[in-house]
Amino acid sequence: MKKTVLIALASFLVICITSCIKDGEQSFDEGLLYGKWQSGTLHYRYDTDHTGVTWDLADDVMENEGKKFSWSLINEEFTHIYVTEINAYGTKASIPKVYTVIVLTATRLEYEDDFGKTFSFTKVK
Amino acid sequence: MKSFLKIFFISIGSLLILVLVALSVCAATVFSGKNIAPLLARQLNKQEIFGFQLDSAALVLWDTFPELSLHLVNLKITDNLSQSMVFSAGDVFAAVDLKAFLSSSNGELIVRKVSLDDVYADAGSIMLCIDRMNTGSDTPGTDGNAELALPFAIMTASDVSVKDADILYRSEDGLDAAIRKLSLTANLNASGQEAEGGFSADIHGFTFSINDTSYCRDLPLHAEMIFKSDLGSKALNIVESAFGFDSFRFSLTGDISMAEGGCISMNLNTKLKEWKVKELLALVPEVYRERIAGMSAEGNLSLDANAGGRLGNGYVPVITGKMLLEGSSFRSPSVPVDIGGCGLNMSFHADFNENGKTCLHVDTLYVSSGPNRLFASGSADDVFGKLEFDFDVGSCAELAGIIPYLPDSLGIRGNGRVELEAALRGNLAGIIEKGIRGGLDASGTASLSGIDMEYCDTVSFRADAMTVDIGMDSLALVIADAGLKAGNLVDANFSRMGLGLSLSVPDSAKTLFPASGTMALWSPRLSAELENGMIKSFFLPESLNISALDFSYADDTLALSKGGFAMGKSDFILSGTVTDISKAISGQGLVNADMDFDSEYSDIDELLSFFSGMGRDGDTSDDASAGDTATDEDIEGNPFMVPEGIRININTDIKKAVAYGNTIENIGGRVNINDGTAIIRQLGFTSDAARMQLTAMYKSPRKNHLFVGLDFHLMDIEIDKLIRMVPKIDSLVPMLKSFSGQAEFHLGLETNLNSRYELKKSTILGAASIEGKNLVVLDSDTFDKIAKMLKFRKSSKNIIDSLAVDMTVFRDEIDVYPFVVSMDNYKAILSGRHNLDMSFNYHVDCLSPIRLGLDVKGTLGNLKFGLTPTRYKNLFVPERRNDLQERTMNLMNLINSSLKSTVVETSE
Repeated sequence: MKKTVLIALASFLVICITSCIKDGEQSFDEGLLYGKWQSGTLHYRYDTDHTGVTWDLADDVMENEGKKFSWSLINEEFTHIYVTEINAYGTKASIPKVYTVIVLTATRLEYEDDFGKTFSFTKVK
Repeated sequence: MKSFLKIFFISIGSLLILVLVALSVCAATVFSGKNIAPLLARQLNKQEIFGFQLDSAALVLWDTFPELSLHLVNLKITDNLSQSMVFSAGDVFAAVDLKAFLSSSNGELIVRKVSLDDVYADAGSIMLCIDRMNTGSDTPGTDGNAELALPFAIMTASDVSVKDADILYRSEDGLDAAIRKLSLTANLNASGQEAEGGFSADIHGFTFSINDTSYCRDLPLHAEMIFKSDLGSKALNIVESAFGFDSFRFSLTGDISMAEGGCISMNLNTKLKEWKVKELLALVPEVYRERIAGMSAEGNLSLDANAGGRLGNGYVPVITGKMLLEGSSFRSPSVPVDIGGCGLNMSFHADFNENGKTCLHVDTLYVSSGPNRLFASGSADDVFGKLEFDFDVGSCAELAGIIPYLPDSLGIRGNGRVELEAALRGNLAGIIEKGIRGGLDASGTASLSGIDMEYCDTVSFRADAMTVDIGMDSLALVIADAGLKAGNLVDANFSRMGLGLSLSVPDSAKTLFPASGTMALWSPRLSAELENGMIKSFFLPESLNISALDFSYADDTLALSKGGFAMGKSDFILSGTVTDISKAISGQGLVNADMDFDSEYSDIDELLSFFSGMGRDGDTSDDASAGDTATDEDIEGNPFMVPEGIRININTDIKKAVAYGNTIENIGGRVNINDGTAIIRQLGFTSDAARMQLTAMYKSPRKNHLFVGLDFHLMDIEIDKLIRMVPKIDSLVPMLKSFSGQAEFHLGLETNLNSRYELKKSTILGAASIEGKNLVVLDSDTFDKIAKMLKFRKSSKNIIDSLAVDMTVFRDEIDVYPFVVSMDNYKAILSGRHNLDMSFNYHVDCLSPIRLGLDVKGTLGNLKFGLTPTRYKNLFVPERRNDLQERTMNLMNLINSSLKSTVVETSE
C-alpha cells in the first residue's frame, strides 16, 4: 500500500513538472552561465545580476570597453537585450537577440538563433 | 738852602735834559728808518719755537708822522726744531695812525696799510709750531668758547694786501694742499665787539690731494667778500661775496653765528649762474676720469640755494633752492642713447633733521634723443621717507629711433610714431607695505600711428592708428586699419578693434602677479570689439571673415554678444556665454559654454572638409588600457580627439544648408561637447526630401577606440533621396532601392571605430524602422522575376499599400522582423536576416491567394528558394498568435517604441 502511494505521488510530481515545460523545451541551470565564455577572440561575461558584457579582442576591444546587455534564460530561451548608449530624451534603442540553448555545462555553452546559426563557447577559468 | 734847591733843581733839570736828549737820540734812531733788524731779531728770537731772520727792519715815525710804519725786508721764519722755513716774506710793510691812537680815549687803532709781498708759508708747520708753543706755555689754552677780543677797542685797517703768497699745507694723514700766488687785498673796521670789512683774493693755482691722489691741480680760485661781524655774539654777516674756481662763479650772502650748545646757526644764500657742464666735466679729478671716459656733456647749470638752520649737535641746515639746467646734451659709451637735448627746472627742500622731509618739485624735465622726446613734471615729497610722488610724464618717439637701442637678439624692426602721456602717483612706503596696488596709481594714454613692425623677419604687424589707455586697473585699446602676419600661421586684417580691460584688485593683493588664483583675485573685466576682420591661416582652408565680433569677460564669464563670421560659402553668427574659465584653469572644473549658432546659409559639406583632420596634430597618446592587439596600422591613424575639460552647448539655427548634396532648411538643435564627448542633440531640420531629426554622439576615450552613436529620424522622406542621403541604408535594406514614395525612417545605431575611422564590426549595434504607404515598386530585374514567378497581372500597378519594417543590427547581422507586403493579389509577410557580406536568409509567409511558406536564401546572384511551413501567418492576429509570434511581436514593439519615442513632435 505504502509503495503504491509513493508511486502515485511520484507520478503526480512528474506530471506536474512536465506540464510546466512546453513540448520539446529543455531547462538549464543559469548558474552555470555565470562567468566568462570564449569563442576564439570573442568573449562574453554573464553576471549574477543578469547583466553581461561582450567584447572581441580581434577588434582591439577590452573587457571594460565591451557592449553591455541584460540577459535572461527561461528554459532554453536565452535572450540578450542590448541598449544603445546614445540617449535622446531619456530613451535608448533596444536590440534584442534571442537564442535557443543547446548545451550548457560548466565548461561548454552552445546555442543557436532562429536562423540556425550556432555559437559555441568554452568557459574561461 | 737856596743853593741846595738850586743845585737840586739844576741837577734834576740837567738829568731831565739828559734823559730827553737821550730819548730824543734814541727816538731819532728808532723812528727815523734806521735799520733795527738786529735789535728786532734779537727780541723775537727770545722764544725758542721760531727762528727769525731779517735783512732789514725800519720803524719810521718822523718822516710819516702821525703814521707809524714798520717795514721789514726779507723776513724769514724757521722752525727751530726742524730748521725748515715755515714763513718768508720779501717785503712786509705796516702803517698805523699813531696820533689817532694816542689821542683816542678809547684806544682806536687805525691801520693805514698792511702789505706782504713775495710770501711763502708752510701752514702745516706753522700750526705744528703753534701747537708746540701752546703746549709748552702756561697760558691757559684757548678753546672754541673763549671769548674773542681784539687788543684794541677800535681798529681800522684800510689797506691790507698780500701779493704773490705761496702757502702749503701738509698733514700727517696725507692731505696736501698748496696755494700758489695768492693775492689779497682787505680792509677792516672794528669797533669794540663789532667789525666790518672786506677782502678780495685771487689764487693762481690751488692744488689738493689726499694720499698722493690728486683731486685738484693748479686750479685758479677767486674770492671776495664784504662782511660785518659781531665778536660779542660771534656773528658774521656776509653782506656780499663772490667765489669762483676756474671759470665758475658763485655768490654767497647771509649770516653765520655761534648758537647755544656749540652749534653754528646760519642762513646763507648762494647763487651760481650758467655754469658750463662741459667745463665742469673737465674738472673731474683724474682718479675719476676713467669712469667718464668718452662722455661728453653740454649745458648750463644755474642754482639758487639757501642753507638755513643750525649745524652741530645732530642738526644740519635745511637746504632749499632752485636748479636750472638748460641747453644740455649728453653722450656716453655706457649709455645706449645719445641725449641730444636735456633740460631741468626744479626746486628742492632738503631737511635731514629728525622729522625733517626732503622734497623735490620738477617744473620741467625734458630729454630728447633724435626724434624722441620725454617730458616730465611733478613733485616728490619725503624723498628719504615715504617717498610720495606725483609726476606727469609725456613722451613722443619714433619707433625707428627706439628700436636700435633694443638688443639685436630681439630681432625687432619697425617704423611708427608713439606719443605717450602718463601720470604716476603714489608712495614707496605704500608699495612696500601694500604692494604696487596699494601704493601706486598710474594711468596713461599711448597713441601710436603709422605702425609697421617686424619680429624676426617672420611676424609683422601694421596699424594706421592705435590708442592705448592704461590705468592701474584698466586698459583700453583701439586699433584702426591693422594687419598681423606670422608666416603661414596667421594673416589677419581688420578695420577696427577695440579692447577694454579693467581689474578690481583688492588691497590685500600684495604683489602684482600672485602665484595662483590670479584671475579670481583680480576680478578682471574685459570687453572687445572687432569689425571687418579677415583671418587666413594654414589650418583654415579658406579665409575666415569676421564682420563683427563683440565679446566681454567678467565674473569668470565670457559673453559673446555677437560674432559674425563667414567662411567659404557659409556664414554664421555665434553668441553665448562661456563660464567657469578660472575653475578649468586651476583644474577644479570644466569650462562651460552655451552658444547659439545662427546661420543663413551653411555648406555642411564644405565646412566638414574645412575642419576634417583638425586637432589631429599633437594629440594625446592612447589610453593605458589599450589592448595589446593594436596593430601598427591602427596606430597610424590620428583621429579627432574630443577636447576634455570643456562643456559646450551649441544651439543651432540654420536657415538653409547643403549637406551631401541635399538642401536642408530650418536646422535647429543642440550640439554638446562634454568633457571628451561630442553630442549633436535633437538636431531637427527639413529638406526637400524629408523632415529630419538627428542626435549623434562621438567619443574618443583612446585613439584606437572611438565611439559613434546615432539617433536619426527621417519623416516624410522620398525613399530615393533617403538612399542618396544615407547610402549605407542600401546595404542595410537592399529592397529599399526597389521602392519609390514617401516613408519614415528611424535609426538608432552605434559602433566603435579604430583610429582610421573604420568600423569595429564586433561593436555594431542598432535598430531601425521604416514605414511607408503607397509605395511604388520600381521595375527591376528582381521585380520582373518575382512578378513573373507570382504571375502578377500586367495591368496592375506595382503599388504596396503599406510597409512597416523593424530591423536590428548586431555585429554583421541585420535581422529584419516580419512585415506585411500587399501587392496585386498577393499579401505576404517577410522576415529574415541580411548579413553585411550581402548574403541573406529570408522567409516569406504568403497569406493570399494561397497560404504557404517560402525560404529565400543565398545572395542576389545566387538565390535559392524552398517551400516551408508558414511561420508568422497569425502575427498580426493577436488572438491567434502562437508563442513564437507573440515573442516576435513583443520584440518588434520593443524595437519600434524605443526608436520612435525619441522623435520630437514639431508644430507645423
